[in-house]
Amino acid sequence: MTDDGPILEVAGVRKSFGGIHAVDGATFDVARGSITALIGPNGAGKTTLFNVVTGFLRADAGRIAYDGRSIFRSAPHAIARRGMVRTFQITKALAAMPVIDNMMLAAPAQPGERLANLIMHPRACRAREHEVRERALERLAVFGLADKADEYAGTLSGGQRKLLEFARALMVEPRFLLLDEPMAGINPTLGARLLEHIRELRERRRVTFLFIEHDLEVVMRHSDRVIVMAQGDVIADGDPASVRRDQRVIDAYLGDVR
Amino acid sequence: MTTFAFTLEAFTDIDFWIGVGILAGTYTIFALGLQINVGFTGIVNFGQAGFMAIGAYTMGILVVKAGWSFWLALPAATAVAMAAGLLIGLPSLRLRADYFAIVTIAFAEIVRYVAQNARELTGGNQGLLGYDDAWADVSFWILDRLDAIGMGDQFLLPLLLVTWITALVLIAVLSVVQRTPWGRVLRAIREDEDAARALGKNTFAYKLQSLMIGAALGALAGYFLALNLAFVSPESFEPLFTFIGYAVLILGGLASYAGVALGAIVLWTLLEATRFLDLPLAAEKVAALRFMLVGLLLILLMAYRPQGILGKRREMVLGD
Repeated sequence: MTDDGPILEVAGVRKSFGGIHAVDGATFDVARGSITALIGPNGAGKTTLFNVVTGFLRADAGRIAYDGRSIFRSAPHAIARRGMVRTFQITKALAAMPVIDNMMLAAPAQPGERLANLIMHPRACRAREHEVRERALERLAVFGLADKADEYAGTLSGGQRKLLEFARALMVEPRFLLLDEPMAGINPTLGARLLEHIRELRERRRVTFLFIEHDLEVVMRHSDRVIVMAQGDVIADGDPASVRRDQRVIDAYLGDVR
Repeated sequence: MTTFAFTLEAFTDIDFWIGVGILAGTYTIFALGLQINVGFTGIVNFGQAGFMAIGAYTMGILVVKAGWSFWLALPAATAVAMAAGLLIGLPSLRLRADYFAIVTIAFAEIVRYVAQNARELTGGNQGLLGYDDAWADVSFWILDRLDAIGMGDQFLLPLLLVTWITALVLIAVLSVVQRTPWGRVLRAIREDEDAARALGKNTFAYKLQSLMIGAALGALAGYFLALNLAFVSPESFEPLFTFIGYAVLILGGLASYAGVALGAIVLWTLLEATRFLDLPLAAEKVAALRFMLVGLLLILLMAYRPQGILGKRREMVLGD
């Protein structure tokens, strides 16, 4: 494992659905410890790229390496276990499960998730469960969801679900988080808090972030690097200021935004 | 005048209740398997009668044709049913839920047709019998004990007792397991498989385990069915059996193991009690009418209590 190389390397990745080339040769790196934004017009292939990178879709061609090792066509759960965790554009709160169960589910290294261990090592299972519950409650408190712990996740508002999904992803103890439109539907106060967390996690634990976002204000102010996609390919890649001035980006996406 | 008489005699008759009880107990065990698949994992298994057939036939063949001890044949047949679950699940659990359902119903029909035609082994339509000597010994031993309380002449009472003890133990064990981290992963898969995968859960392995446990429960129900009928024949394993299992599930409520037992008792009391409807109709028409009545009951239930007797309404209405 390299300690300084990019955490994610994507090279020449292609994914077609029938005749539509959703991702068409995308190539980029994500630097370790960075907050990188992925922007582009609707239909540019951002979410498909996320799905391919995290194993939810099989790439047709290309190379994907996480932390120096190929994850091309690895299973989603195997990728998540290595510390690369994603959220979804349309929130996947487990609606008919309590909020606390949503959180506890995500914790890794729970021996009780194997039937044999429930019989052979019941004490270890209970101990881990206790530990995980504590941590889950702490996290919920941070996101202002502590009083919702025992409610069904389906009773939460859209914004609260986004926060729950983020908090739940953190329970996996990720080193690299891929967020698909994390700010969509969240009110500005909660959004600011979310951004604060992202920065803090980066500073304190060196978590890397790659996020898809349409709010350019957020992108320009909070990311170190911006990757711009259009028609399945990366058309620009650089710091926010240079991307903003890039003529191709202005033509394809930004238009007159200054 | 036509008479709509309904003799209440049946309800005070202990034979009636023992008969209903054994059926309800067998269906409880059968539908517990459906419950873990459908209610807790969200995989639609329409082939439960097939797993039951594999269990019952394997047990019968091992005892009658291979001369195995009944008590050894039980775990062996259960293992065979679980292996069948694994075999069906491996290629087809990756399919979308509705396609998986089609595969399982086809599987169950294949099992039944094989049972019908592999006469050397299964006795074909004549059925297979003579596997229950070991059970008869146990049954007489229990009857001896029952003699002390004056119930020694109820021949089927031992089967009723053993069926329900088994069913209740299973309900207790499954309910405990459902509250463990393992059970939590199953529920997460039911809610949203992709979310579970994104959190590092190997959902395919869990679905396989769920199916294999469901298959084992199906096989277990098969043994009780075989002991109750005293012979195993293909017609006992028609798809109808699975669908009555689903009726039990819906009646009792999804995602509740205790509900399965209640559902089975209510359904079989109803199905058997309507036998005593004294209508000026031919017997087969009355038989058809019984199922129409049950259908009507299910429709009314869906309208007024869609979550079933013990199901949780909130879990039903909450969606993404």
